[in-house]
Amino acid sequence: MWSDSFDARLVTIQYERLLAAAKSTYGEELMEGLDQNLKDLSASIARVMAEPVDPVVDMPVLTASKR
Amino acid sequence: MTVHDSSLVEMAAAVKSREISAVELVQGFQERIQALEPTIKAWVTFEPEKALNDAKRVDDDIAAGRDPGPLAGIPFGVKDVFDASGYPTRCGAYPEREPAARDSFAVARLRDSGAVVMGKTVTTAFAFVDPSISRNPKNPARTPGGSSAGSGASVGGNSIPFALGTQTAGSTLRPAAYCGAVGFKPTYGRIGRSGITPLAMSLDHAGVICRSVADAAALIDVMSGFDPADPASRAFGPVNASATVQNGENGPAPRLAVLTEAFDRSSGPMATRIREVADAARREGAVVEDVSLPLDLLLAVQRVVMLSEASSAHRDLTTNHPELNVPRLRAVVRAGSLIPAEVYLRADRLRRRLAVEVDLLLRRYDAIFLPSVTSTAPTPETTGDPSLQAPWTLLGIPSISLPAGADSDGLPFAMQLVGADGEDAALLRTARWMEKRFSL
Repeated sequence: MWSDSFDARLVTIQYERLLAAAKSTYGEELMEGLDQNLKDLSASIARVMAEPVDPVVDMPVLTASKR
Repeated sequence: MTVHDSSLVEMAAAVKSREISAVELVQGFQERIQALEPTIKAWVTFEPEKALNDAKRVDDDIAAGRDPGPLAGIPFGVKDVFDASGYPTRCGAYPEREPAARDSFAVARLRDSGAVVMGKTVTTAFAFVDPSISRNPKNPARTPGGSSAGSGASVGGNSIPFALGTQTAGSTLRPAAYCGAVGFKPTYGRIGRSGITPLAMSLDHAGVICRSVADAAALIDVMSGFDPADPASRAFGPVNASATVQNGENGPAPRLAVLTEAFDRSSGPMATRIREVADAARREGAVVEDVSLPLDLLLAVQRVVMLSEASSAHRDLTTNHPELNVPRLRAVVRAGSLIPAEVYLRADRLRRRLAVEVDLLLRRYDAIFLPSVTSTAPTPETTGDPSLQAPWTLLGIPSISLPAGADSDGLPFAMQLVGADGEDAALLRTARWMEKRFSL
């Protein structure tokens, strides 16, 4: 039901996107701790984006009447 | 055993019967706090006279024949992200602040039940990961965890019978586990959050750190309720947790789903000890079966949601207050601001699917069983690893940490039980069954 693995290159792609966005938004010199956050976050984003979702069945919590 | 070491129900009964006055009860805990505080640094605002005045009002009520409530005269600690009238809410970051004008929902519920605010406990800055000054009462060279650092340290050090915590990833259960206390995070929406400084709104929970499952039940019975000022509050009926726990402690053995991925992530000693508990439960008649869940995906989704929402909550603060010493929060706010909306929404879709899968699992078992933390308490440069608490926070389902012995250095091991959405009382019943047999 769930993906067992995903292409590790997706993490690198996500990291490069985040790094470029960080530099363009906050300047070329990254504040302390931000680069590590971007690395951790790129792994999380890659994992999330690698997991298929059904646009009908997988209703977001935001719009579902779960609560 | 003194009154100070008895359960909350027994303590309140002792106050109501005048076996001990509320003032004497509070004074006894104040002496414990003052003895321990130089070592563990758990309190950010501690004004003994203020608590004694509140305790005297409880005694006056009893003398006048009025019932102060089920927690009569019992003092408690308030994590310094909850507003408590008359105390500043400094969030572990503001050097000074005006006192709050009114109580948060949780504090008001407790005060209405006769409990007495002892003061504010140390939190990491804005309940995030910048470490605090607090230390672990079992070993001051170790962290008490975070973000509810002072609450965990003070209850674990037995200098207060219970304290409030919050949990966005693992901030109630982890300090409880590291400090040898019980930590309980009820279902999302069970305890109103108005008057709590937010970190990530769809993840933030109020919780309690206390000394037993029966105490957790007594607390949830009075704290549960609809909060019109909290958009996520749910109109549950009465929990009746205390009665459920009492009736269930000698009831049928539970069905436990042992989460294998959690043991894979844990240190050898922690995994071994908690497996021993599972095996002992099986010998006592419990159904104990290994199950599998995509823990890596749960954690990835939780991180995306938390960073997006924390960035939204605190961007203005970190921009407009450069004087605040919150370097890790600043970095997280910047990282979170770069997450595309598409990624956040995809995480939200996966969150719902994961919730459905775990809900189906919990129709076959009474609880998911796993270590509360990946290891015993680490050194204080970190507040520890939230990876075994965060999945259940993401899904909004109740979880509880119980002590499970200690290693040769006296650092606590801890087991965790996770229940189905809204089934807080049933989870506490299972927890009591385990506590009675295996909690040390």
